[in-house]
Amino acid sequence: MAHELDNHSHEHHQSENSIFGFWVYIMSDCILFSALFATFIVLKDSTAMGPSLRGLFSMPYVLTETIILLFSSFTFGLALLFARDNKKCMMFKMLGATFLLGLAFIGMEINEFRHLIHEGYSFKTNAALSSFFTLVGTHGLHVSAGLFWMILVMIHLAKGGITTKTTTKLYCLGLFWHFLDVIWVCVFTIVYLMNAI
Amino acid sequence: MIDSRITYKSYFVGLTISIVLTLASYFAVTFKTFPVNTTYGVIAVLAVVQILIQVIYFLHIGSEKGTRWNLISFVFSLIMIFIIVAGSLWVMYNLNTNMM
Repeated sequence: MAHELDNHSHEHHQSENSIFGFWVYIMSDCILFSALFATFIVLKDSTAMGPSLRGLFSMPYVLTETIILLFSSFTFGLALLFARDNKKCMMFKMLGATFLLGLAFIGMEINEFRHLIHEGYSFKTNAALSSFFTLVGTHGLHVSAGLFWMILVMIHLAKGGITTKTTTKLYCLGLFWHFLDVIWVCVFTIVYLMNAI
Repeated sequence: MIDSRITYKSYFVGLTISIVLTLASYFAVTFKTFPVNTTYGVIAVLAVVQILIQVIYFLHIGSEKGTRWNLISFVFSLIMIFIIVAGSLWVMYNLNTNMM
C-alpha cells in the first residue's frame, strides 16, 4: 500500500516535470516567433518597387480562418476537461472536432498561399513577401505538426485509456495548441489587420 | 495536473470574449471607424487583451498551485520578446533614417 502510494506520487511528480519541461519549450518557441515578427515588421514595406502588401489579402477569408482556429482551441479545452472527468467518449468527440477544425484551418491557409503564388506573389518576389511566407508558414507548420501529434495522442488514449501518462501527453498537446492560437492572434493583428488599415 | 477547479464555463467565457474582441478589431479596420493612427492603437490594445484572456481562460497561467515556475519562465520570455522586438525595430528604424 505504502509502495503503491509512493509510486503514484512519483508518477505525479514526473508528469509535473514533463509539463514544466514542455512549457519551457513553448516559451523558447515564443521567442522564435518574436524574431520572425520583428523581421516581418522591419521588412513589410520592402517590396522592391513592387505593389505593397496592402490589399493583397482577402479579409473575410482570414477572419474565417481566425474563428476556426479559435473554435479548435475551445474544443481542445473541453476535451481536456472531459479527460479529467473520465468521459472518454465526449473527449474523443472533442478531439475529433479539434482535429477537423485544425485541418480546415491548414487547408484554408494552403489555399491562400496557392492563390498568392498563382497571382505572382511568391516568397521569391520580394523581402516583404519572404518574411510574410516565413512567418505565416512557420505557424502553419506548427499547426500541421500539432495535427500529426494529435493523431498519435488519440491512438495512445484509445489504447491505454485515460491514465496519468496519457493525460500528461494530452495536456502538453493542449498547451501547444492554445499557444498556437495565441500566436495567431498576433499574426491576425500584425500581418493582416495592420496591412488593411 | 488538470485543476479540478477549472470549469467548462470558463472555456465558454474565454471563447465568447475572444470572438467579440476579434470581431471588434476586424470591424474597426474594415469600417474605418477611427482615424488611421488611432486604429493602430485600438487593434494593438484589443490583441493584447485577447492574448491575456486566452492565457487566463485557456492556458490557466498562475491560477493553479505549483505553477509558479511556469509563470516565472513566462515573464522571463516576455522580457526576452520585448528586447528582441523593440530592439530590432529601434535599430532598424535608426539605420533607415541614418542611411537616407
